[in-house]
Amino acid sequence: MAVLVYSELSTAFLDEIGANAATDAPLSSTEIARYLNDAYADVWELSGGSVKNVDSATAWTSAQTATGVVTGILTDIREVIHVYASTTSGSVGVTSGDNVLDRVELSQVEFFRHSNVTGTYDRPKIYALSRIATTTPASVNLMQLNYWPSVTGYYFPIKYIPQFTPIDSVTVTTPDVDDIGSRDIYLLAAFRAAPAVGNAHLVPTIASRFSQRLSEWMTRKDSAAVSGDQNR
Amino acid sequence: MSIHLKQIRDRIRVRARNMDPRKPTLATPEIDQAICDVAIELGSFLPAPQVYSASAITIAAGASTSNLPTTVTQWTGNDGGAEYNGDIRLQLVNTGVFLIQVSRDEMDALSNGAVIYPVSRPTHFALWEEKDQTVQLKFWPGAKAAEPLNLFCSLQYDDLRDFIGTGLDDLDDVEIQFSRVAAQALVLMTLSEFLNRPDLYQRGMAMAMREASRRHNVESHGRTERWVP
Repeated sequence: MAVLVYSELSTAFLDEIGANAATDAPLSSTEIARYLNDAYADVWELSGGSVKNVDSATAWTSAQTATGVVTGILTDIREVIHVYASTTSGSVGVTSGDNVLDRVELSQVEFFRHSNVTGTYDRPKIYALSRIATTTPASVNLMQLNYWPSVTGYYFPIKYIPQFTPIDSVTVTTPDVDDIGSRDIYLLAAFRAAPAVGNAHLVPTIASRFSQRLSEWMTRKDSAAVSGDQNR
Repeated sequence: MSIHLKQIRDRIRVRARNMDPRKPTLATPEIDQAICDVAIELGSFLPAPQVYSASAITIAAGASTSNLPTTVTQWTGNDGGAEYNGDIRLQLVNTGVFLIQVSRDEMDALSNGAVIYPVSRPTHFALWEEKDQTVQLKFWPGAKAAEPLNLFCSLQYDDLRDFIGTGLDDLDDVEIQFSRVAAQALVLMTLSEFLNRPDLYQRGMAMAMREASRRHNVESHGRTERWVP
């Protein structure tokens, strides 16, 4: 497989910073994981994220009995791309008869809920999403779905971009990026870690091997930080 | 020929490049309200739809008045939504004879001085719209026995939002009773509102005029003179 896994990333990272030693290793496994995941987070964000497609039961509690408001189950939603209305419980939005809802501001949903606009629909047409305010750790990032009209009996499968999931040596070993992106992970991690292990002189060499995409992103980011110029 | 409102909606979305439900400039209810409003406007320029309703009215025995039914509409379920467009023809079911429409002044002249309103078999009728928009009928003479009447009439186009349909029918399912040309005029005129393009409105109106001409061609006699009894 072209995408590097955690063990390969770790080895390549240590090689780049000249710290691939079994004895008196300058970085612990925890520190290695932190460097790699910090770099992975940037590369993952740069790649635009990937899309998950889930059915209503995965995303919402009792959607089919709701009357206009549904509470979410998922806590890893970064951005919802599409919400569908379906009469099929296991649908992921592509079943015949499903319709995609238009995303609007919550205030627009509220307007139509309380308006006297005539004409009826037998299925939801618009929706708004909001994050539920909470201090309960397990409930952070839960979403609330408001839809109109408030007809019951519909399921709401969604397509969404998930939040970042760190990689490790045991559970999530493969980063969710493409092949070039995975190589950028260990290079970016090494770029940041080399000074910390006393090998700052390696930084230019490491940077010269960034992918085109990463190089442009770094340049743009640095330029924005220094002069506010993002037009690159 | 007819077309579903949802098809008009989607044509508008394509033409307005508003096909992304993730970040729509116009949501479905907004587009639909505009379609319904413009359809009323466009319908006012087009020849009125015609309808035939058998035994739609019955003049009670001894009565000389009645009113046009409020249930004669473009689609089932819009009871109370009838709006007539002026072309009213009544035919006695029992004899097949069409009543002659006269003005209210002529009806007043016919019944002038009639202390006891004569009853027989009606031959004439006059109509007017009451303050509550029901259309009243007055007959001359009155009906000696109950007289059912067939109704031939023209209607105003119904408001699409009044469509009720059956079961789960809704705005998605309502069929706009327009021809292809009129449907395209509806698309262009609705688009002109969203895109602020008066030229689209003008194009739509031009198509509406051509559609009106087509309807007249269908219904005309093709003669410049005709005998009126």
